[in-house]
Amino acid sequence: MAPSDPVPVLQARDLSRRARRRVLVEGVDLDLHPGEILGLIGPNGGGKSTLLHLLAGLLRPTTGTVTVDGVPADRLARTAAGKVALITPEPGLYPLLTGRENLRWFGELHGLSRAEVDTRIDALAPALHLGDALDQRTAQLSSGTRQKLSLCRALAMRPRVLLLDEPTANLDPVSARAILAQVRARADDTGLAVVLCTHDLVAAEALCERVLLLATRPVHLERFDGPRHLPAVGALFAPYQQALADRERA
Amino acid sequence: MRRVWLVVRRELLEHRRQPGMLVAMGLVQAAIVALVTALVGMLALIARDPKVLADFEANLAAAGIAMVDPVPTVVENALAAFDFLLVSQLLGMTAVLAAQALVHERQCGTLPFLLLAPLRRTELVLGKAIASALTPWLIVVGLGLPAALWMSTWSVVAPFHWRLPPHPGWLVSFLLGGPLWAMALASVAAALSARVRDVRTAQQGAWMVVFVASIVIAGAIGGALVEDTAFQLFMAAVGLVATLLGVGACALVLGRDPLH
Repeated sequence: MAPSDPVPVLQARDLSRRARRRVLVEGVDLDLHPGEILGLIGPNGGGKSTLLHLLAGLLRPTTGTVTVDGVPADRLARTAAGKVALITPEPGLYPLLTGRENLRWFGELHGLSRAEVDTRIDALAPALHLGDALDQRTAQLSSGTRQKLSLCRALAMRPRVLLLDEPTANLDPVSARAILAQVRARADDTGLAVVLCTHDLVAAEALCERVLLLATRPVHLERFDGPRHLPAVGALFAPYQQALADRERA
Repeated sequence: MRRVWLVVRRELLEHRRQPGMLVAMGLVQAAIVALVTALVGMLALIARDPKVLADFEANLAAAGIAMVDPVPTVVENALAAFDFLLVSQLLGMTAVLAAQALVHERQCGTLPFLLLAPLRRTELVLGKAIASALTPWLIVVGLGLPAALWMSTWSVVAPFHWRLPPHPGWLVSFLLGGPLWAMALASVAAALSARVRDVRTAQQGAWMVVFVASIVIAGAIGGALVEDTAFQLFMAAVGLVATLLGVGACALVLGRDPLH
């Protein structure tokens, strides 16, 4: 879906982060509009997770600014909690609590009443095929189900921006597709703006309107045509090229 | 305070879901209480009958243990040990629980979600300190207070009534000062936990730093029972200040690049 709202919900300008004399992220500018899904692709250690943490306000940038609906990212938790939701490769759930207890607890922490959280969970659960998972301790659940719970927690806060840090990294293809389909549906239906950090170039091609390549310098690709686009950044993505070639040969 | 309570409630729920840990903590405490109660009870029985008391003193002398008024001496030492063990158990168990308070969040991967929530770092740390102290305190007081109250009815402990409830100084020390000092230690242990990434290092840090502190503080609280109630209140106030400083320090530690 092409962005229809000209006002970006998420803006980053000249965003850099250096730590221990290492440049982790350098000179990133981006605008993200409601309903848009931006892919974030780069090699391991290329700064993708760091960039997501900067966009979420979890890390302070060395230079530059991030705003969400005009609110500086580092003030989000205090003044506009819930506007930005994050999904990490690890689902981030308490293993001794049930799915519902986890979701309730995080919801209450965001100021929702227990009844309100339950209503939102029950509305989201069928689409995410959560079923009995809500009543089981999360330690007993599969990685895919736990990741769906994590997505349910994120969506229950009704965020404006969803930051996905390799959300399907540990999942089988069916679970991965189910989660990404839900993300697409939410972006289309509710105008949720999404940043998807992934190594799955096929998923990025299918899902993202634009891609930001984090290579030696950030490269914006307005139209992402999948892995074939990658020669633009040279040998950095050679493994992807090789995998693609192998797949085509097969 | 609502968010602090939410953190406490969730921590306590997790504690309840680890019945093995609760049983182990309870058994250690029960063993200490039973041992001291049995010793003081036996001495109470000996002291009640002059003939048995004379035999006891004769046996001690025959064994080469020269003591003037052995029963009161042993009772006082037993009660001193009882008070010391109660407090050191409270502080030690609290430190062990608190030592993995924040590293547990890292291991569960929940730390980014907590930092994104409208939860101040001080609220998170205070909630964890309260929960880490509350479970051991309930175990220590739940097992120790009834035994202490029972012992306080025995005439043999009358000269040392200040070492047992319902003496106000004892109540202030164990119901107020103990948990406050436990929370202070918990916040120090949590600060250590905030900087490390694995439970092993967190526990080692807790034992090497907090263990020594818990011995010193337990000795100070037990030793201070001889003073009046106002002094116990002063000790509790110092514990409160130490808790607030510890929570603030831990929140500062956590505030420095919590994810990296």
